[in-house]
Parts: sequence; C-alpha cells; structure tokens
Amino acid sequence: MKNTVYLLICLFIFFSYHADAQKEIWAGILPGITVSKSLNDSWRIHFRAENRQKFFHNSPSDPSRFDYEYLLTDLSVSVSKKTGLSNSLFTGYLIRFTGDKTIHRFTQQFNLVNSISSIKLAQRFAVEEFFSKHETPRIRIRYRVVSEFPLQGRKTDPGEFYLKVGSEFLWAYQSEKTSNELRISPSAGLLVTQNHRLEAGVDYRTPSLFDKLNQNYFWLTLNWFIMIP
Amino acid sequence: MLPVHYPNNFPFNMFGNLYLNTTLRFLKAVTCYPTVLKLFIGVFLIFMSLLSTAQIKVEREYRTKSALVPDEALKFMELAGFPTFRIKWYLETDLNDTTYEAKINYRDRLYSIEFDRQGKLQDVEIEIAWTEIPLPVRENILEILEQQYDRYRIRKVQIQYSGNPESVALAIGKNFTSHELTVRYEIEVIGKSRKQSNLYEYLFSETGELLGKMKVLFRYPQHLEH
Repeated sequence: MKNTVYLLICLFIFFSYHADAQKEIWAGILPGITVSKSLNDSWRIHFRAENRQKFFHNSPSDPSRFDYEYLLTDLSVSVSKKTGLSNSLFTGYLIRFTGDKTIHRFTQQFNLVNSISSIKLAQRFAVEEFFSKHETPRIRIRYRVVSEFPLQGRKTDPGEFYLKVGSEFLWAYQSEKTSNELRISPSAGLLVTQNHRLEAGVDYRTPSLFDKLNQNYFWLTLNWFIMIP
Repeated sequence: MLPVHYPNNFPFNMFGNLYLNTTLRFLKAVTCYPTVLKLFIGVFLIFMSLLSTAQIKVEREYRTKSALVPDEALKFMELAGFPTFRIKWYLETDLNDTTYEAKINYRDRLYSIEFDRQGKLQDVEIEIAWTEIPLPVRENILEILEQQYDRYRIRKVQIQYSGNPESVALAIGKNFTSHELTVRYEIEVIGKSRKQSNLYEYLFSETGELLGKMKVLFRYPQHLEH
C-alpha cells in the first residue's frame, strides 16, 4: 500500500511540474457514484451520477489562486450486454447540466477485458455524440486502456486494495474542426465487498496533444461502484 | 467569508491552503445546515457498515513470506531444485482450511505448487502448451469437448503431478513416470452453448479420460466499463 501511495504522489508531482511549465492549470474534484443492476445473465443496467467542481486555476495572465467554481453535473443511464466471457457491448444516454446549458450525450462502446497473470487489462472503444441547443453536434471517438493490479495477492478479495492505471486518447469532430485529448488516471481502489468498491485517484487531462501543451486539468476522482446482483 | 491567503508559488503552498479552505467551508456547511449534517452522518454510517461487512471473509488469498511457510514445503522446493529466492508464496484461507501455494517462473515454465496446512505436498501444476500433450490424449479430450459445446476455446493447459513427493520432485519437467506418481491434465476452456459463454475447468487423466468438470465463476469487472 505504501508503494502505491508513493507512486501516486510521484505521478502527481511529475504531472504537476510538467503542467507548471505550461502555465495553465485547472484543479478540482470529480466525485462519482455508479449503480449497476444485473437484469439477467447477459444484460445489465447502469446509473451514474458525476459532479465536477473547480478549486484552483492558474494561467500566465492570472496567477495561482483559489478559484472555486461549480462546473457540471452528469447523470447517465446505460445498458450493457455481455457478448462473450470477457467482452461486452454498452450503450447509454447522459445528460450534462453545466451552467445554463444542457448537453445530451449518446454513447456506444465495446469493452474487452483480458487477464495477464494477475493483472486485468481492460480496453474500451467508444463513440459519443453530443447534442445541445447552444452548439453544433459533436462526435467523439475514444480509446482507453486500463490496467488493474491487485496489491495483496494474485486477485483482489473483499477488503483488499488494488491499483488502477488508465490511459485514454480522445478525438473529437465539431463544425469541421477536430481536437484531441489525452487522459491519464492513476487511482487506488478498495474492494469493500464483492458488490461495493471505492476508488480514489487523479484524473489528468490535457487537450491539444500534438500541439504545445498549454492546458492541464487535474481532477481528484472519488468513485463509488455499487453492483446489485 | 473566511479570510484566505492565496499562494503564488505553486505547487508547494497551494495544497495546504486549498485543503484549509475546503475543510473550513465544508465544516461551515455541515454545522450551519442540519440537513447536510444528517446527510453526512448517513453516508459515513453506510461506509462504516460496508467496511465492517468486509471483515467477514469467506475466502482470502494473500502473499506470505517463506519464513512463515512450513519446513516440509520449503524442503520440497529445495529437493525439486527451485531457486528459493524467486519463489512467491501465497496463503489461501477459507472457513474450513488453509493451504500454501508456491508460484515460480523457472526455465520458461510457470510452476504452481500446492501444500496443505502442515506443508505436505498436494500437487504440482506446470503450465504447458496444448501440443505438449501426447496426440492420442489430445484426441480423447477434443472428442469430449466437441460433444459438450457449440464452440469452445482452450485457454490454459496444465500438467498436474501428485503422489510421493520424491517422485514428484524428480518428475518435474523431465517427463519421468513412476507408479508412485499420478499425472493429470487440468484444462481451462471457454465453452459456448445456447449463446452463453462460460469458463470451465476440466480434469483429465493421463490417458484423456474425464475425471471432473467445474464451472468457474468469472466476475466480469463491470467497474472497468465506466
């Protein structure tokens, strides 16, 4: 467990220094709760609520300061179907409340989970469509790979901790313009019981991957997953 | 609003003030608004109850040190010629029993050696390629699998040795046979029938005769979908 804490601190410091050099940083919290219910052996329904709040903003024109701002709340419902032993199809709808705007998002994704010795390797291929009264439609393609390492033994049993490291690349298209984003999200998790898990970590996001890095987002993530059999 | 000093030298002073601000605002919120306080206490109690539930463990498996492993198990590992410093020891406990398991990657093979609570050898499993099983045995196994599934995929093959520890130690990786030695094949299969895929663990005799079949409970990691 100590090693995990050191690793997370090192990663955070590394990204902090890296980000500091670019002079534009946003930091805040990103708590979320997910409730999943099995409908039968293949189908599951998921409800998720997520909230984003900014606590800090630093830019060349505006030096480091405490800057609280409520950013958004996401509510989503989705269904997934197991298409094999270790893969699934997933589709969902999300409504995002951000300031005076409301954004609707539709998601289609394919998930693939492999086990390499005691490490779980999960890949996610997703396509998302955003619709809003205030903006033209936006399409986003995402690819994410997540590795999960048990920290006490070869598998994570209830009451044990694990380490999760995710990396995601996103490409978006809107009004004939494209943009991309990279996300890296190390986190530590606790499998509380077989049906409850808690995760805490850092979600680092940087847009304009191939340009000069100038915007860096750090969200402290706190996630609670509830699985209802 | 509480007075706040805003730091300029990121990142060293930022977090102290950030946490102070957040904590003070949070404390102010929970003390000023009874509903928030009640909600906070409720969430706290739910978390505590979940954590206490986690203490009731039916089955646990975790790393252990060689110093805590029974001598008999350590002696077997030495007898078999494994480099002791590379062995990873695990302790498995459930409501009824405790077993020790040694895992080692040695000469490009993954070995898994299981001992009982006293350190008595139960079996040695070595991960092998499907093609390392003699052809007539493979044919027998395939015939059985084809009868049971519309589609199937062999995921993992292990040769299993049990019996007299000295014979087992001699036999490991040498294709040595003895009447004091039992050889079996443990095979993991993803089988699909009636549009349902499941993971099964099969146990076959040295000649390919079916000795046992067990459905493995595979918990799909739903949290990795989000």
